[in-house]
Amino acid sequence: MVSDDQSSEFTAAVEQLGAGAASEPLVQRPTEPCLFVIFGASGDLTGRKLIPALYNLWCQDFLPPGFAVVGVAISPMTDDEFRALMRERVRQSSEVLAFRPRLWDEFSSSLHYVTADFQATAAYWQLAERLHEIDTEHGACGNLLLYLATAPSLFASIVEHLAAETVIEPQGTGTPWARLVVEKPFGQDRSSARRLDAAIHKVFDEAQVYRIDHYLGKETVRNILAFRFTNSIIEPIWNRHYIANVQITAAETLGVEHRGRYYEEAGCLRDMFQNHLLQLLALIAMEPPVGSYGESVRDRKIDVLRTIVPLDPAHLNNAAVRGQYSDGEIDGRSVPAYREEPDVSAESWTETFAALRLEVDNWRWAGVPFYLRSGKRMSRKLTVVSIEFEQVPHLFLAERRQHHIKPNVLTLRIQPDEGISLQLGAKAPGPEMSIRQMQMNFSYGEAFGEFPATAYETLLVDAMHGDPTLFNRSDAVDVAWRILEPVLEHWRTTRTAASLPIYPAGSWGPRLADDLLARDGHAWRNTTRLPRYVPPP
Amino acid sequence: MDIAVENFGAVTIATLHGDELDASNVQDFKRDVAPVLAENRNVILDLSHLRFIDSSGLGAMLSCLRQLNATGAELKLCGMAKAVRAVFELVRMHRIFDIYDTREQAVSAFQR
Repeated sequence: MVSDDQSSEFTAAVEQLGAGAASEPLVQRPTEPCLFVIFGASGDLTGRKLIPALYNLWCQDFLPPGFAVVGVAISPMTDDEFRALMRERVRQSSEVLAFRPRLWDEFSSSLHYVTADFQATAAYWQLAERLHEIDTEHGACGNLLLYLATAPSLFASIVEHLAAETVIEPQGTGTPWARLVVEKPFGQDRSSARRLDAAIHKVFDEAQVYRIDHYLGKETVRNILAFRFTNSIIEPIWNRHYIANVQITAAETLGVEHRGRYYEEAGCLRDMFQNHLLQLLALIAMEPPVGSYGESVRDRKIDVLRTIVPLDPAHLNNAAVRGQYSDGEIDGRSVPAYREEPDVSAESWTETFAALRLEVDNWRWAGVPFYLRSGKRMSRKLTVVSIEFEQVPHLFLAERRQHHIKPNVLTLRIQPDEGISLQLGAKAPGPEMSIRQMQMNFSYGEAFGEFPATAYETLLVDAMHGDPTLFNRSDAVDVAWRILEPVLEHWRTTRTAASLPIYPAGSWGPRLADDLLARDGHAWRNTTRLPRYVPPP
Repeated sequence: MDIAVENFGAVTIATLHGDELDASNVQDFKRDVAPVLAENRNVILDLSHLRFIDSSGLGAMLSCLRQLNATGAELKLCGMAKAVRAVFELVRMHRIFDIYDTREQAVSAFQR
């Protein structure tokens, strides 16, 4: 028998999981059938992220009835070869719930492949024909979820061909529907992003376009909204009166790996700031959404991005720092300099590190600096938001005891060691009033168990539902490019050694990035852990 | 939580003796079940004593499954109380596990 206590515990567990009622699943399975068409299906993303995510969704019965995947790419392959290739990727993936041959066999019968040269008109006629056949086979009712995972230079031309060769009908947002998911990077700068937008909008309404940034699907990123707006103690102190500065760090220990060719064109600012870091900033700084409808969250985020003070080209050195890694050592292993990496020019001017000091010019944040930085080959892999609070206005302690008093710091650990901690001062044991820093800590792993990453699953289900909340809207992309434009232009035209400081691999970036904060009396928080307290003998 | 291990030919049944599997004892469970997973290829976890499981318990079940699958070994679950089964269904984990009502059914599934 289950006692009352246990039954109420069960209800509590269900509520903790966020469902409210035991019979209702946490996320609703999409009901409308569709073909999921991946352009660039022989590329890395398909096997590394998309197919494992779709397989996970299949295992959890989250895919709609009448669902099938159509991979499209130039490499010649049959359906069976594509299935065999994907089977291996899923089997070896650390992101699948568990590889079960029986479930894979069921799922893989919905995988198809079409060989197509994206530049050739005839390829789109064949694609249209195959899509029609596959639709009939699976009962997808003409709905198309089109995923652009090719080289970005092909995005506009694929969209143009899709309309011109009537692979898709101009149906707007009605039924059967067509939705377009676009991978990052969205443009190379503001004008190219606008050109791409114009090409897409000739064929699709904005409501049909889903610009994907997988960061926004991460549990810890989505938790920023939950943390801010479901806890009444947070909101009253979330402003310029209590917060001294905000630091957002996305550091990697990896170098450019096999992406040298892409990275040479992109650099750190385009690769990380235009999307991930500015989106994190928007989530931290936004006003409360007024409702749960799709545009409510996106409206509040764009408000923030629009109020970021444009960087003054005449004083950029006080607000933007770049760097490039030299050789060095990471985890005891020697690693080469960026300029020695494959597909990288020996005289490259591409930045592998960037740091910005931004200001959000509104009632809530006036005067609070937001420091953003990201880099490759840094000391530690760490994506974290640190909110540093103001010092207390007055101290009752003797002056010699005051040096241990530190401001409170709230740390949102996006990855790894996902969680939230709050640094507080506390009296150390002993007869004297001696203050030490301690941490209150929430760990995802301990609280909720360790489930594999689910960012792509979340976003793909949302796109199937037609929920755009976690995708980037056209105006947000445009404003993000506007914010970065002066820096991109300045760095493009400034080619002096002093303007591209070299930092050793395994460090925290160039010293100039520290000066960015030091001028305001602040310092980067390079660790999320406090040193262990050792009591005096 | 105690885990009682019995062997029936090539099949190993590990019975969890405890009412609850949650954040308070999940680390103990992981530690205690590790040798069972390491030494056997056809493993049944008998959950019939369990009255409550939370998401950290589910996470532990999933890591048992992953660990066994990684070496081609198999895991089956049996004897779930209604409330426990409901949590599996709630987070849609019931398809990914082989779940049987009784241990006899689970054993014979291995023998098929």
